[in-house]
Amino acid sequence: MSCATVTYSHLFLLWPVVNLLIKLTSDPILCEEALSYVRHASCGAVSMFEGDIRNENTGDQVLSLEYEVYENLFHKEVTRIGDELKAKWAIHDIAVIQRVGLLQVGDAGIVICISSAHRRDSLEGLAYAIEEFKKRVPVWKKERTTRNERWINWTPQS
Amino acid sequence: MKLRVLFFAALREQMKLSQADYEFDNDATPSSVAKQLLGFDSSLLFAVNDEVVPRDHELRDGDVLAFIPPVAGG
Repeated sequence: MSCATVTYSHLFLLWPVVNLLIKLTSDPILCEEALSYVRHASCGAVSMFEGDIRNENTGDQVLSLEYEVYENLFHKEVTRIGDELKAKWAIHDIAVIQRVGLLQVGDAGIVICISSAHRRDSLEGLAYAIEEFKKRVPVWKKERTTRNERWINWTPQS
Repeated sequence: MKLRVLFFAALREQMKLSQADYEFDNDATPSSVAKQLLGFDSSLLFAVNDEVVPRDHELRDGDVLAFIPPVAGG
């Protein structure tokens, strides 16, 4: 097993404690690990996003995806997104587990879980977290299809 | 000045290495270093010592400069 896990606890004036789990792993993601991290007796809502490898992309049959991460900046950027979530919504806990290395169709590449007392905070926060993650967090994917292989979002320069 | 440069994803494959140490002029910027090493700087973001910086950021001896190609997380 190969993984790196970081957990943070922040004290706030208005919200007692918000915990943030950030984990990088080359092993299959166990959703229950993220879910159990954010569950709490005070939370009536737990929202989860699981990003899975599809079997096709833009008409091509996908064989595998290779995930690469800039680890130090990954932790910093996810922590910033966590801080933004806490500032915008009444969120209790956050868990982000990112897979790295070679993934097959059907594998989960990322799982994000957020808990809150009421559903609206965790649902809206989760949507924000996913969008910001896709825009800002340094993760790259090399897609192998039956036709070719390419780094997603990358156009070779000259 | 001496810089350590990190390469990720497509850039790592292009350079055939994930990091290397280089010597540059004292007025080098992330943009100028990219042009020297890669031949381009467009479409890249830059991080120095694990923080995203502007492309004209003032580099210092011993900095760790990362070239960040377009991300694709999620």
